[in-house]
Amino acid sequence: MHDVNWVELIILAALFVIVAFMGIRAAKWRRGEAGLDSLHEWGLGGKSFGTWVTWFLLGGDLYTAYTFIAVPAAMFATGAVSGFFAVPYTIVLYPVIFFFLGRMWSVAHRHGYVTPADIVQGRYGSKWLSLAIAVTGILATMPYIALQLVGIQAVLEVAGLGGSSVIARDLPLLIAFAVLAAYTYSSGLRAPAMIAVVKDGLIYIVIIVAIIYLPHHLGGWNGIFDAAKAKMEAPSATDPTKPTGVFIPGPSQAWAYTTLALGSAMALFMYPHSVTAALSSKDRWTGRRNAAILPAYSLLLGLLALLGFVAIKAGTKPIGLDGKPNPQLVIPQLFEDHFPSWFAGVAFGAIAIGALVPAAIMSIAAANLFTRNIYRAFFKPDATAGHEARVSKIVSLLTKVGALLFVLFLDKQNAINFQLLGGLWILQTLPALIFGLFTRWFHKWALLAGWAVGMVYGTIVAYGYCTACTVKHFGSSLAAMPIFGTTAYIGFTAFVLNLIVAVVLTLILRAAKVSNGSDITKQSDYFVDADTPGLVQPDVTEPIR
Amino acid sequence: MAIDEEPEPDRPEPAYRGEDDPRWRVTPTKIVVTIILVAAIVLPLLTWTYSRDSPRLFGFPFFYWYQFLWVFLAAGACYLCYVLLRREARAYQAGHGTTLTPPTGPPPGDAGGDELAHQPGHDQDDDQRKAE
Repeated sequence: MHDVNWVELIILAALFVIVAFMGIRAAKWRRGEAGLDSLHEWGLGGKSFGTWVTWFLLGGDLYTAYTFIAVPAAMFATGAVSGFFAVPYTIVLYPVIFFFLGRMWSVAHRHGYVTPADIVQGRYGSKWLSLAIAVTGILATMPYIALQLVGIQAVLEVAGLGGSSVIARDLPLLIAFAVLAAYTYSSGLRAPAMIAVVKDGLIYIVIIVAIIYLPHHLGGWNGIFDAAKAKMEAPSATDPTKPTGVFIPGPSQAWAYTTLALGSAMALFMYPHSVTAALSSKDRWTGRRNAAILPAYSLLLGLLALLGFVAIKAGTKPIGLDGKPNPQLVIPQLFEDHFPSWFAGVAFGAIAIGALVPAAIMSIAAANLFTRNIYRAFFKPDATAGHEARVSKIVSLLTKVGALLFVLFLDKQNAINFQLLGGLWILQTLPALIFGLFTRWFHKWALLAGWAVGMVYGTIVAYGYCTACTVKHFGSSLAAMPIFGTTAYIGFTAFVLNLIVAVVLTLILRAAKVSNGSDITKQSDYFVDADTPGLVQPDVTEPIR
Repeated sequence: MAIDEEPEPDRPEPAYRGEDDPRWRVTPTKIVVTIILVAAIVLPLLTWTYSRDSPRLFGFPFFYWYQFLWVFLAAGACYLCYVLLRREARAYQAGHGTTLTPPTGPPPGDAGGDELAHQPGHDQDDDQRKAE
């Protein structure tokens, strides 16, 4: 099948070496006097990131390597509903997060919060609600880390490494993993922030070259879209009664497209790694400024999605080393077919490094959740900042080992399915986390009950549903909504149920005058800025007096 | 390190302590910002308003180029909201000073008014601040 492409591999390896070096050096970058022995320093980069570093960090964090592989793959295989929805998703994402980023940053800054569950803990004084948020965050993040490793694997496979030999298939991944683990452990959030700048520079160059050169080479966009339309409207290979995919969503698919985009946009900033990156900025307004400049990445993502259609026109054949077609390989294969080896090598390097940035942030965020909201909350309430940082470093290693085992020993499809499920789960934490920033009306037990209902409903529906039974359990994120009957994103339906439960139970519990916990935050906490005088990093468990 | 000069003493219960920070109130600016943001969320999601092939632009079907257009429109909307809220926040700071007073360190600048503008090392947005 493939031969090993040495030029590509050497460039890939060289980029990895540069990244490993940078990542470990990053420990000294903008370092405070206290070293890295606190979650503030190790887990949030000392909150030293200004607008541009935050832009690269959030961009590298949200638009993961896996996205860059999976979105064009979905466009190539089934078209707009499963692929291009990522564009409206990232369009509405920024107006959505604009609402709460400022308040979230301020209250976290005021109280020294590091995780989303910290914020909930402070507002409702409920360990259990906070535990629910923390566990959901960890569960949702683990398969996401695994997917980043899947992204690296896809690139390596096209470069010719893989197949049946264990050494060829797994060794490069283990090396990538070791690099990731080493720099995350030693440098914390500073490492992905620094690497993100390099990686995104590469990604922008690669995509812009591809999006200008390839359509020109293939006879223009008209022909590309016509080829895509022809493929999508042709009968499906597995079920000839249905078309292959969706070129432009019709009325019956419109709601699915809308709810997927909206639900995903609402879910994205509930992920602990998004919160971590957002909290690491140096002042209240950096996040909102970024809402206006991060759409540059959405543009990139949209163009990249269209490369899936370009691949249709180009007749790209994404066949894995096992000889079976695998749409995940379509973008690496497109580069391999149409560009010189050195450029393909740079592209592959950009994607592979692109996987290391979010994987690092995700493992940091998951580790912080464990340290703050499970370990400290339930086992060691008197943990010092240095102790917390040590626990987080070790847990971040464990989460990555878990992700690695997932990729090495389970079918890749599992990682993808669990990531879909993770998106659905994490969306259920929105009412507790976000509504609390604006009102204390919701009752903590009502929020917990709503969360539980959303989680259970979403998981059951996702488990039971299979599209014409070509996919296994958890294979689809779409299902019919109850009552309305239209097809929608399961997470969105679960969220609506979650909300109804939370509102109804809040009314009941408030009427019954059940205590709603203690709130250690003050109204003014939601508006502090970095230069508001008198701020210290207080003990997170104590009210500020 | 405690901050003692908080206007409201901390009471453990009830949860809502009768605080009334003016920044929590609904203002005309906030209403405008909300309308802009909601529009930027709702309009790009009305799939049926753009699920068509024609007219094509540079070979792009309407469905595709219209959504690309919204990438720019939503970014612009966020920037506009940023400017509006920032202006409101600055007006508030100029009028009220900050609500927190430092427990230690040098006292705030003249009359506790616009301390931010006098603080060195505040590199973000200096250009905008100086303009005022």
